[in-house]
Amino acid sequence: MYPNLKNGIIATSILSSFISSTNIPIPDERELLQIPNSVNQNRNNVLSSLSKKYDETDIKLQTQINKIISKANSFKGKELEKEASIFEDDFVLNDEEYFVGKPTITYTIKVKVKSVSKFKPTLFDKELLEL
Amino acid sequence: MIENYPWYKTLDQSDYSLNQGDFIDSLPILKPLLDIDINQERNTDVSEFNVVILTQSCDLANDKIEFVLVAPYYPMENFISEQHDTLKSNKEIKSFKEKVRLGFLPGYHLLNKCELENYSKDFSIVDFRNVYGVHIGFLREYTKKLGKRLRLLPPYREHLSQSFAKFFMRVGLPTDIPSFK
Repeated sequence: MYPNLKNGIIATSILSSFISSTNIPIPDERELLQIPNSVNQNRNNVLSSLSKKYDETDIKLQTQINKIISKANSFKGKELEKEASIFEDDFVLNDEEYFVGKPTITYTIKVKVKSVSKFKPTLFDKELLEL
Repeated sequence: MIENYPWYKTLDQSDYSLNQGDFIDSLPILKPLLDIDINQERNTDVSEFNVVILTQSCDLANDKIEFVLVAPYYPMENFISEQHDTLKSNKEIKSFKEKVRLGFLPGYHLLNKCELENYSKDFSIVDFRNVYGVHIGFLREYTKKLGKRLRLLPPYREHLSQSFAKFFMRVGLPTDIPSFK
């Protein structure tokens, strides 16, 4: 659907990092993901869309956009490919993400406990006992 | 060369052996009672999970254990669709798939899809965070009723076992070395 998706994500990620630092709301991602023929065209399309959406007299926004243009212009050739890797910073060992799976079915039954006894562990390795 | 290392094989209905890496579907897991009153009837929940055996095959064969450790597994697409709050965008889903494939999510292990004749299965996510102990006597009897079963083969079975070990032996450092980036 977006043949140059990587280039769209470059602009999005750059914009997001600057915009989020100044608490300016991030535009709808669909507005940002254009279908460009070149990186330059995409970058300009994105910034143009952003400017049209927000008040052009907003000095804060204009300052941010200028920073973005400056940073975007500093990326050239293969650097853009690297920056476009949406997984680059994700590939670290991540122990904090937690996901929940569900059983195929759950039902309720009645049980009656007849007795309770303490579990007696059994040593299966006789060789260990003889040590 | 790759054909010499298939991921799975099917077991005949008459094969009652239990190995690490065996898949047991719809295994009932009883939720323990909070209060135990002798000779009083109580309600408790039973949840059925599709599980894979984690206990070592040698321990199973030699009857060296009373409880078999099993971990639930889920079809990958179903599992992802359940994570409404954490996996919302295509980017997040794609990132999750790659992370679990590469072992960057210690609590989860990805198994390949199965395309054996008459036994097809989607990519599966094994959940190490919620494992269960099942009495071996019960498991043996339950398995006899299942019919044809699926078994994970070496070295993918050992890879699963290693992945489980890595989950349990992970250590969180209070003061880690900062990134070199």
